[in-house]
Amino acid sequence: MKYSIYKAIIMMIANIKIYLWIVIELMLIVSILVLSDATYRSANSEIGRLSNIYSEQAIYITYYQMDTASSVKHIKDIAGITYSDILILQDELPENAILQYYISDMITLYKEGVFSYVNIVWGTDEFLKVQFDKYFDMGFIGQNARALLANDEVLVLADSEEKEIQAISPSSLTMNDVTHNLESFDSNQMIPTSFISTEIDSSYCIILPISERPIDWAQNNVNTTFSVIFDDFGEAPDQVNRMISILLDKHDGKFIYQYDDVLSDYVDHAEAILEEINLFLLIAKICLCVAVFGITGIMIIIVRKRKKEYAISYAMGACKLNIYLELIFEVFCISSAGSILGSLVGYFLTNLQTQSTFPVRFYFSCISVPFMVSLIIPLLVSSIIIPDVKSRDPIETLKIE
Amino acid sequence: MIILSNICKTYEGKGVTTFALTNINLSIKQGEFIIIYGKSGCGKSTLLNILGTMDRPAKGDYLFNDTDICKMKFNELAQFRNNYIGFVFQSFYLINEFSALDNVEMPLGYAGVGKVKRCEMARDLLRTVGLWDKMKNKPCQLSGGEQQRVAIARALINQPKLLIADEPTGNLDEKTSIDIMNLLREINKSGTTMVMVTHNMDLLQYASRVICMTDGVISPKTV
Repeated sequence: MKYSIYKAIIMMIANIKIYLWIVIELMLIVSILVLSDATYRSANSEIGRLSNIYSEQAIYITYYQMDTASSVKHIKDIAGITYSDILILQDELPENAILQYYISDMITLYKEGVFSYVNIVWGTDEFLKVQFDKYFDMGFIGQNARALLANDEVLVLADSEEKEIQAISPSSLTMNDVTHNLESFDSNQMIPTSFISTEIDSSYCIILPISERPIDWAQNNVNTTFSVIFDDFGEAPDQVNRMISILLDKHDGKFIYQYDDVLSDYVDHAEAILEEINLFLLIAKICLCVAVFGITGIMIIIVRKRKKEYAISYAMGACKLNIYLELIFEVFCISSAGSILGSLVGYFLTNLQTQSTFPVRFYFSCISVPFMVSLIIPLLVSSIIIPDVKSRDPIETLKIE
Repeated sequence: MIILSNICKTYEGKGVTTFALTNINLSIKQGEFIIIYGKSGCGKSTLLNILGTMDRPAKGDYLFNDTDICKMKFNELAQFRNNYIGFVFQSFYLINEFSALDNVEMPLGYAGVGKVKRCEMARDLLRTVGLWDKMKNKPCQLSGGEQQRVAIARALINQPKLLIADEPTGNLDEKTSIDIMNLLREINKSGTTMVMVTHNMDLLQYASRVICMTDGVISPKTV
């Protein structure tokens, strides 16, 4: 075995010019692979980062279904929203239990002084009909429902069409009430006997929990999620948009309701990134094919030219294992050298990459592809060459030579 | 040392069977210098390849020091060649990428001998064949005679019992041929059994026994 490696090294040194070209070729291909891989990963990272930035710039969108209180605090911390009022726009129907959580959380926050007003508005008729009609005894609130302020405090809902304001008095809604098990919920105790009618107040801030989508889906479909969210905004019931408008007026531009612009900017930026990624991925795929099949082909041609050497080796007492070891060792050394050098060049190219629309960083996981190439090529070469060598008659080979 | 009994060798091709060797019976004693003589295509190289275990007979028995060669597998034969047989070819068959020293070392390498030991032995042999000053030269930097000397040194490095030489002077001029034959005779005198193939009658004088071959059979006539 030692001699086989020794012989392979001598053969490599003797054929250094040919092998050097192969190593250089492989090095260039691998460096492009590493660069494109790093770009791909960096782009993904950048998309994630952008999604956060745009979320913060606009209304922070949270996916915490069951922990609204934490979500709200998180929003305040990250988005820097300093307004004291929170409005929940619910684009999909929460379950009863979730509803209770929301209300409970909101009241908790209210009592802790986080918000001066808490308003909960649902944007779908179905929910209002089924849930509120049932549990809060407020009757069906139609499409023109408006959120109202009740005693400067908690929850107000109204049906503007009938001009009858129905609301839950904040004083009558306690923590015990809202955390009450729905099965034993006594709506008579919850619903106050008198309601205060007033016009919609503008002292609201907004939270938009997209409650029905799993967080992992949302994270992996940032672009889609954004589109859906903003589309939903656009399709939100009139009263929701109206409230947002009022809110914006109230805060005199401090509260930036810029989802249209954000969407546009984000899409533009994301598309630019994706175009770049797609180009690099295409190059990477072509390079991968070239690297694996091209280098394999060249190596096979080179090795086949050495059939006389193998025949002589057999005559001198080499067994098949000796020949295979020599062959595989040579190919492995060349493909490894190309991969290692290519990884280094790719690393430097990645650091030199400044023309991209986003920062490109080197990830150590990028060398997994070159590592695989350095293994696949010897495996491919040996799987093709070894049966060929195995079936070759040394006598016939020497005769031909 | 060597007993060949009823050795036959046939080649199949395009529905035609060619009989290269027919019922060859041959016994070779240790220390003999046998020259197999015959015209081209008479089967002498085929016989040599079978003797050198590079080829297998279609039929018959081959005993080498009472070992049945025909029952050996490919890798066993390789090891057997490495231990007992040296080859000298007409076209030298040196590895062009190797130096003279590396070429001579090769059989020792496959025998598992360490670098220092095999280098020392190869140097000694190259000195013996008169190439001590050209050890680092590659085959392309050597003349035909020098290349054949390197090939002979390579064949002898494992101290084989049997040296097989297939037209060793076929590519050499007359003077160099004589030098090479003298070298082979000296090797034979040192105790190595020699089997050589040639169609050059001038070389028969070096043999202790000449075997004439005609159409795949050993001819009863002597030269």
